[in-house]
Amino acid sequence: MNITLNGKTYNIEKEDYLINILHSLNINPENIIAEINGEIYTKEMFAEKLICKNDVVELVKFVGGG
Amino acid sequence: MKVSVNGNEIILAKPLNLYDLACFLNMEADVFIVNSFPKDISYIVKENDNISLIKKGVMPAKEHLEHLLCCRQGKNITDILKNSKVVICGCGGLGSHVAISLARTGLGNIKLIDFDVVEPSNINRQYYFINQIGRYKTDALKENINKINPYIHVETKNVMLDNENIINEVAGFQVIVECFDNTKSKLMLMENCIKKLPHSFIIGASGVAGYFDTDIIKIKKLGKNILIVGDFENEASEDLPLMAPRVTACASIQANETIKYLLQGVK
Repeated sequence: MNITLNGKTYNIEKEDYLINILHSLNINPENIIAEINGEIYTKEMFAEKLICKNDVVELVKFVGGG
Repeated sequence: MKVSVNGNEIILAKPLNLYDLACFLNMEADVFIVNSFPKDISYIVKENDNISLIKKGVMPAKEHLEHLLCCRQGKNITDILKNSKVVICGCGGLGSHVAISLARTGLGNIKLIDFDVVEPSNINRQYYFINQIGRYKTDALKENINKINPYIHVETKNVMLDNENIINEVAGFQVIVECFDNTKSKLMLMENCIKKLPHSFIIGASGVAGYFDTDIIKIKKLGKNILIVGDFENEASEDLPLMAPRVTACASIQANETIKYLLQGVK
């Protein structure tokens, strides 16, 4: 099944939790807040949020400096 | 016909050009601004025109100053911004420039939050001066804001924001501008506000270090009410310094998004 992550299409085997998808794509979940189909998810929700077919995921990474 | 001149309403028996208007009012002027845009002296005034008459090299009368400071923006915009309330969390490279930019627009109520004092290593990118070293950033920035526009109400809070106090300090403002330096504080603000103030409008920043192209700076949305400005990768480190141009560019985008939000629907 396909999902969109940061504007790119990814083919993943099956529905899975966001945290597992990030690990499988070698993305460190630290310092990330996600938007999935327009809703916001903070890091502690990543292990409970199931990503399904055609979901649109945007990851916003926070880095220091200001 | 009714027009406004330097903020005061005036009734004219007949239409005049700007030169004749200045003579009629016994005012000297060499800059003529009508409804936010400079006009030639031959311009004939119309009903409800908002006119500013400025004499270069002369300090305007106190009662005209507030009007003249924002006359390039027009009355509608200026009135809305004067009644707006924004809180700036962190008064470093981002926060000090966001504050100054908003002050120049005449944004009426600005709260500044920071725990730290001005020190020499801030001066390369933050809106402070050498003679302010050692002072609380909030106090120094308030002084700088009021040098630009003395009519802005500035509230200051010298405190380190954390999970316990943040909601209390930022609730009730139309826009929360996240201008922290470190990642932990950025996430602390976002996570608390997402949970406890889900309807607040927040503009944050991530990735402002170095001197890379400014065209890799983007605005990402989180839900309906959160915008994050930056390149999302260039973190400040010993190899990647924070420098004025790029930090200021991001701060200006944060300030512009603040204004865009406050002026939604204004023509």
